[in-house]
Order: sequence, then structure tokens, then C-alpha cells
Amino acid sequence: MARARYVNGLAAVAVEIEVEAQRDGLALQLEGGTQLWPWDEIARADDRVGPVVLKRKPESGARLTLDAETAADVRAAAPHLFRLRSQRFGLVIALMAFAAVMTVTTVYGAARLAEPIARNAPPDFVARVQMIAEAQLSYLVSPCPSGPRDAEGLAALFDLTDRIGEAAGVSPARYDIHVVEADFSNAFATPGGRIIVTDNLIDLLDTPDELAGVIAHEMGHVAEDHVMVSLIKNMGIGVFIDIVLGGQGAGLTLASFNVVSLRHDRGFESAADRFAVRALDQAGLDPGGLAAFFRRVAEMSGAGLGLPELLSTHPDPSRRAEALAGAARPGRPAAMTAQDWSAVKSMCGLEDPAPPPPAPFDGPLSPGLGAPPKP
Amino acid sequence: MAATDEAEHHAFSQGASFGNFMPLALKNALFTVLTLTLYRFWARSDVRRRLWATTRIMGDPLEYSGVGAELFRGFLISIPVFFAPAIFIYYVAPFLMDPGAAYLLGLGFYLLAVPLIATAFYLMRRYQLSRTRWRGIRMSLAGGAFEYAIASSGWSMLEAITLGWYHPAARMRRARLIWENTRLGDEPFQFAEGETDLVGNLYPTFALAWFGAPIGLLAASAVNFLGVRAIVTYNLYFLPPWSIFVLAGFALLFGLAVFALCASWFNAAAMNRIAGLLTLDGARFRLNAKPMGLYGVTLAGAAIFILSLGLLAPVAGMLQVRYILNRLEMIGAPRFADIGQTRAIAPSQGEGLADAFDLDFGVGVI
Repeated sequence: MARARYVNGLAAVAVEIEVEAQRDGLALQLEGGTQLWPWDEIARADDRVGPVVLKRKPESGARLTLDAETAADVRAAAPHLFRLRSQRFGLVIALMAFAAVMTVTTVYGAARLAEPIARNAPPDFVARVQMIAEAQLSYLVSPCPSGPRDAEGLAALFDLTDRIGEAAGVSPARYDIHVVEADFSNAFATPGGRIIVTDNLIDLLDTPDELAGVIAHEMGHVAEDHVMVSLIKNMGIGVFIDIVLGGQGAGLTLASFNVVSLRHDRGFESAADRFAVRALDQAGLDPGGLAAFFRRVAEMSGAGLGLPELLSTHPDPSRRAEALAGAARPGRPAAMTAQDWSAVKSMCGLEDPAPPPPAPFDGPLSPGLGAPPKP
Repeated sequence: MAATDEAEHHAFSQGASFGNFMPLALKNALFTVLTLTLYRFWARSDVRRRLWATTRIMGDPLEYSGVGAELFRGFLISIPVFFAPAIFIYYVAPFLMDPGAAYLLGLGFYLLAVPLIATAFYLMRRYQLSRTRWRGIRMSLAGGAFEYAIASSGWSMLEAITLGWYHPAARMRRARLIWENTRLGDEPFQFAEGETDLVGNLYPTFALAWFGAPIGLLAASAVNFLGVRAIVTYNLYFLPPWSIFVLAGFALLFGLAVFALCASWFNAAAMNRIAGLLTLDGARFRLNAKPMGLYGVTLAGAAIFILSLGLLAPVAGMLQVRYILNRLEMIGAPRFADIGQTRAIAPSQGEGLADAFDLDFGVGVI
């Protein structure tokens, strides 16, 4: 006989009783007589860090707390009650598999579904996304201060963009181009087809062909709906993470809809590069400008000059330059006249470091001067 | 009515230690990472079971019988009930609806979140109590979650209108609503019985907590300012650009630590008062939480939380629970022989919404 602390599950009163481990079960000496708890009806109710507490199935609230000596007797008679508790490795493996399947399904599904959704998005939907994108952008960029050659520079930009768009078969209704003032060098396309070039990037560009390459690249994103596809894909993944984390991933989801820091995957960047090469080639321009720009960006990075922040989100520029190396068509005319290039370089309050010599006076009907800006 | 002996003092004891808690916390952290956090439901149940099992009242341990699958089921239910509407309102509606209407919808849902959080809190407490036994007697929470949500939201509104000054009253009223509906078996707890003044003399300590917010903000600003000045004065421009964020983060933590210090007197006083107003069949309770002790475990818990990136949050919770329970005692004793089993029906699934709102801060216990 050994001692144990017993509660009957009917009242919150504990009493000391005697128990005996028998072959069929645990015999409890209660006031009303002996009660046998069969071994197969007994389970542990404790957490294995203190005294052993037993309960009887089905649950009635009755408990038996054993002291060390009694526990040793019970262990000898019913060792199954003292086996190590399951570490749940099976459950963990199942949950890992479930999480992996869900992740793969979501990432793959989002990638597959994003494209048709983006391509068939109603214009109202795209317009609202554009509006939100512009609201976000307004925190980072601002309109250019007006300068004396803005209209001339803008006309040159429109002209170049239209030539590239026409050669690539992109309707002018799908895009437009803006130059903005910003603290970083970048060009990007917004969901509604707006190509935005920052003044710092224009300052960084060395030749009109480089500018043409940048514009053609961004037009590739517009023509192939990369922005909308990326947004929808990232949102799908973000929502999945949000749900899995039980609402703690809301920040990630919101971040996924951050147009400004939007990163296209490498596939989209390469596709836009290929589009640019094709469009520039068809427009009779030298696609080598894009490669030259990437080479210079890579040199700047290598020299530790630090790349303008947002450009650093793109894939490795030296690899992109390498991939485009064979695309150059030397000998083709520059993408802009020196006069137009000078006007572009003077936009947004910039100072053209190497203005062209003044053109000789050809009389008031000279076709090269005073071209009206594109409305 | 109550057969209590005023001379009897029954101290609660909480025996969780790093030795018996850390291995569990580390295992949970590992499994939680491996399963993209899905293991958190089982982890939370294990933490509760350990904390309950190491808590003894009059020599008998508490027992927690909840299981992770119940919490997981609650989470699955919360997906269509909460997440789907939330995702539609916040991520889809802005693109499909008129911007004004989408904004109003979002605002409405945000306002709805106040009673929803209160509901989630109540349901969480009901679930936890329904899985808690002492001497084999199950606890329960009666009353309606909806009634609690309405009342709590009203108090939240008053707190907002009064810039927080209603908080002591709101805290005590919430405590009353919760505790008056709490049962050990079929025996209800009483809160502030015969007491008309719930708040007592909490306001002097609350004033310190209230002013602690601007004081903390000033402290954070001062640290940030001094840091930036040191960079400029000593030409520390060789530091990487991200050091400015480290400095700002440190300043923020310092500000929060100052605020927590100012708030610890109120927190201790409020907890002591809630315990002091609580009775069970005539037996009273007394908590002797000290501001500095509470502040110490808060700081230690915060350090553990930050250094483990939140993965060891249950350890922080354990420190708090241990500190409080080891300073709690019951004076007198209820007529235990008259306390029978509850007939309240226990909920079949766990606290899905509470998980969505992270109401237990990942600690596992509230």
C-alpha cells in the first residue's frame, strides 16, 4: 500500500488515500470501499515536470497525485504511463510538408495567374492602381522646376519615345513619359504605362543612345504588363504570408504593393532588355547604348562609387551588359541631335555640362529650331 | 456564508524555471521556424500546459488540457470569418470600388476591429479557462462575448476621448466584467463586492504613467540627438549608413524603457488592486507586486524577446507569470467541499481571432 492524493472530480476537495498497484489496475482505498482504476483507463494528467498526476478515462475530473514512492510502484506495474511523451516529429514533418506545398502552390499559382489577371484587368482597375502608385510616388519624387528649355527637351523625349514605340508596335495610347525631380537615379514604369525618368538619371546618362536604351527597356515593361503582373503576383504571395502568419504579415503584404520599390524578377528584366534591343534595332537606333550604360553602372559599382539606390534593386548590371554585348550596331545615327540631347540634359533645372555650339542662323524657316512640343 | 479563516494565508507558487522551461521554448522556436510558424498553435498549448503545471495553489497544481489542434481549428475558422473580409477590404476593394467608398469601408472595418478585438479577448479567455482545472474542477467563463465587446468598446471610446485618462476606470471595469463571470466549477468569483469605488487611489500612479509617454518621447529624442551630434562632432562618417537606423532603434528602445519605468507603478498598483477586490466564496486574494520588480522582469523579458527575434517570447511571458503568481496569496479558504463541477459547455475550438490579433503577444498566456 502506498499513499496518494485523491480528488473525486465532484468537489474541490483533496484527500489522502492509500493505493495499491495491482495486476489489473490501481486499487484506490476510498471511504466507500475499494475502487479499481484499470490500467487501460488511466492516463497522465501532468506535464512531466512535477509529481505524477493520473486521471481516469473517460474524463470525470477525478485525479490521483502520486508521491515519488507510489510513482515508482506504478511505474513498475504500468511502464506505458511513463514513456516519453511524443515529440511530435510526425506532426512537424506534416506541417513542414503542408507549408512547403502551400508555399510552392501559392508562388507558382500566383506567377501563373498573375499574367492573365493583369492582361485582362479592366481599365478602371488599372487606373486605380495607377492612382495609388502615383500617390506613393509623390512621396519620393516631385515635379521638375520649370526651366527655359523644358518644352524643347520634352518634345525631344516624346519624339524619341514615339519612334521607339512605333517601331515596337506599341500604341501611343499605352504609354507616356515624364521627367521628375528625385534624390535618386532611376527610370521606372508605373502600372498605367507611365514611364518616369528622374533628373538624376538624366544627369548620369552620357549619350542619347543610353537614354534611348533606358526608355526602350521601360517600354518593354509597359508593353508586356510587367508592372501589373508583378504587383498581382507579389500581392498574392503577400496575402498568403499574411494568413499563414496569422495576421502578422500584414506589413509584408502592404510592402508587396509598394510600387516604388517594386522589383521585377530577373526574367522580366531580361525580357525588357530583349524588348529594348529589338525595338531600338527596328527603330534604326544603336542598341549598344543600353549595354554601354550597364557597363558604366557596373564600373561605378565596382569602383565603390555607390550606385543610386533604386538601381541597385536591378540584376547585376555587368551581366546584363554582357548579355547585350552582341546587340550593338555601331555606325547608326545617334538617337537624338546634339541640340535635342542638350535640351534633354538641361531639363528639370539641370545644367548641361557640354552644350553644343550654337547652330548657325538659317533664317526663320529652319526646320531644326523651334519644333513644337508634342501635346 | 463563507467559512473562511482570516488567519489562513495560502500562497500561490509558480515553479517554472529556465531549467524546466527553456528546453521547451527552444524546441518550440525551432519547430515554429521549420513549419513557417504553423507549429505555433501546438507550441502555445505546450507553454500553457507547462506554466499551469508549475503553478500550485494550496499544494495542488493547475492543469491545462487544451491541445494545439483546437487552436489550429480556430485559426482555420478565422480564415473565412476574418481574413477573407479583411483581405477584400484592404487589398481588393481599393482597386474595385470608388476610392471614397473603399476608404469608408476600410475605416468601418477598422472601427469594427475594436469590438472584434474585445470579442476575441473574451473568447480567448473563455477557451483558456474551459481547459483549466484545479483539483479536477474545471473553470469557466460565463457571460456573453458580445456584451463584453460592446461595453469594452464604449470604454475604449471614453479612453480615446479623454486622451487616456479614463484608462484606470476602464481597466477596472473590464476586470470586473471578466472576473464576475469567472467560475471555479460552479462557484463564481466576486469582484469589488460592496465596493463602490473601483479605481481607488490609482490616479497618482496613472498620472506618472501618462506623463511617461512624453517623457519617453523626449528621452528617445535626446538619445537620437546626442548620437547624431556625436557623429557630426567626432567626424564618425566612416560608420555605415545603416548605423543611423541602429541609433534610431536604440533611441526608441530607450524611450520605451523610460515609459515602461514610469508605467510600472501604475501597473503594479492596478494589478494589486484587481487582486485585492477579488473574492471566491469569501476568500480574499492579495497580490504584492512591486514596481521595480515588475519593471525588472519587463526589461528582462523585452531583452529576451528582442535578442531572440520574438522566438523566445514565451520565456518573457514565463518571467512575468512567475513574478506575479509568486506574490499572490489567498486569505481564507472557500468551502471547497461545496464547489462542484461546472455545467458550462466548453468551446470546441480555440482562439482563432485572438491569434489573428496576436492578443497574447506570442507569449501564450494572458
